[in-house]
Amino acid sequence: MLQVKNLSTTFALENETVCAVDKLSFDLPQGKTLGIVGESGSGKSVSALSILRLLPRPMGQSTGEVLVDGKNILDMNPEEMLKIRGNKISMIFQEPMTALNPVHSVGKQLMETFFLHFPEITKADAWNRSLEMLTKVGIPAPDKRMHEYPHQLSGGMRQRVMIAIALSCEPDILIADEPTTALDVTVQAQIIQLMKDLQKKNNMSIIFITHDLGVVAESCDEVLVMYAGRMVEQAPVIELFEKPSHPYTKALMASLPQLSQQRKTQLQTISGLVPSLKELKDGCRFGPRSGFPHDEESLTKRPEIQQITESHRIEWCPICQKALQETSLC
Amino acid sequence: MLNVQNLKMHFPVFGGLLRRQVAKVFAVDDVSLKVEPGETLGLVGESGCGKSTLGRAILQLYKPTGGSVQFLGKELTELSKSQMRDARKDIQVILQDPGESLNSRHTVGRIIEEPLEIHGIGKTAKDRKERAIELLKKVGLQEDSYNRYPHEFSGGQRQRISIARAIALEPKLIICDEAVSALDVSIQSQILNLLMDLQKEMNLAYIFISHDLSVVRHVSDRIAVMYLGKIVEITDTDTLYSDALHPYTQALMSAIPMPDPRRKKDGSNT
Repeated sequence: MLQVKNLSTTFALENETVCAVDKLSFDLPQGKTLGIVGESGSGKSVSALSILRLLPRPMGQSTGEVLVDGKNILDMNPEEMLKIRGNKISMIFQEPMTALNPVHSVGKQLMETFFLHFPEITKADAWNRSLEMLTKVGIPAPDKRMHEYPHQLSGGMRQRVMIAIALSCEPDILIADEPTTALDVTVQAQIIQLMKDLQKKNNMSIIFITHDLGVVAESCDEVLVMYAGRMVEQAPVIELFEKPSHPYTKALMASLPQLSQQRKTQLQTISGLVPSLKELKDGCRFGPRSGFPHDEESLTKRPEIQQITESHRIEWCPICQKALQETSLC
Repeated sequence: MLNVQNLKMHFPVFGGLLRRQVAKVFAVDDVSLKVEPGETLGLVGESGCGKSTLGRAILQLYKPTGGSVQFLGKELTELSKSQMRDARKDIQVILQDPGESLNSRHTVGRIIEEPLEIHGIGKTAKDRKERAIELLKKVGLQEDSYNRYPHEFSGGQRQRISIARAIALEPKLIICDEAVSALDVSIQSQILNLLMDLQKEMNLAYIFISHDLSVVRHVSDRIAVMYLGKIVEITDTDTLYSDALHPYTQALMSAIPMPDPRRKKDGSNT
């Protein structure tokens, strides 16, 4: 099980420091899928990189706790980290073309993982196990694919190879950062199905990062919504879609074209833009876009996180909360 | 208004020692469709099915291999370069990535005035500036954007600039090639609203190319589904979503992730 407590990540720029992730906390139970959604720049990917300590150094610094089996990853030395990455936590990325090495064959890249994590393994064994992984992720003619290079594969096949590499040491936790965003819908459906099947087989936990609410609805058990580096709402998937409570989540849901909606009608919009990290204040960050007038205090004082049910958490700014209650009354 | 008949776009494949033509790619193969004034035709399909090529062949950015494209009574495939330039007044395009389709070395004002200049609209530079500012306001940008450069704007604002440029000549038809695909959800709905407002106001027709089926459904009157260069199904939007007939359309429909967690997750949607 993975526990993240008060994870903050800052980046030192030339003459200032920006905070990309601000006190993020969540638990990921064994065998479950947690979706992290948010618009670009909300800190989804940086959170994932912070968990695996893959941030560019020395600019990126994380504080807080990331506990795997009770041990804090952020305190580990590089040798210990090597045992965590791949063995305990693995990651797949959005663009498999840039994540795979174009000058090495697929087989070589798969075998590399085995050589790294099992130094005693023989070449023949590594080859066989790589072959087995490719079969598992549903690649046809795997013995032929082992000799091929990434550019010879289609996008969906490349993503399958990425998944094969990520799962080759049977990690407990898989972090998938927009794994299907670059793929076509039919291929996307295949990859999501594949991840679900492998999850069931290995009892793996998945963190699924995406901006596509449709994908979240289809593949996650729990959803955490991020905005401007903070969690704004976390709930089980059905509850979040049927009873979104935070004004941002509500607005996000409303701005999607729904199949039940009358065609060619005005879509709801969120006015304004996602704030830049440089101009963030400590208070209610969605306030200026929420349509409710916010006073100076609510924009500077950090809202509290409230547990509205056992599994539903919200960062409630008192003004948003009051305004929403009033609108729901009348 | 637009009548495409048996349009073909084949690309030659060269190979061998002497770089002879060894094969052909049938990117668009025997496509026929019609678009009426004020109507939106959605064009969906997976990447590589020929959606964008079809758009470009209609615009004569590719010279079609065969077939005809009639637009406002003119046969576009037979026009000379200068005649085509005139015809382009009425048929414009908005592309996916406004970061690349806007010249980063020109100010927003110059970008929008360029089509006006080419087609000799507005007698003096002052007239054109007025017109450009009017267009900026129409797409929801500030007047002071006129002197700024594209990199100073966010993705959504840049797409607004592309829209301002596309409507500068008051076209009859705009081909939107994945115009909202690169935008965040909250910005996407703003741009879709803008496109729908402009359509009402100017009686524009759109060919709306996208892979996002819920977006296409929302804006389109009719939808054409493409697969391997051919249109496999073309019908009005409501019929397509309630009652898709072609097996490919059905497969495509069932593969779209819907923002509804209660939808049956049976895993048969591949």
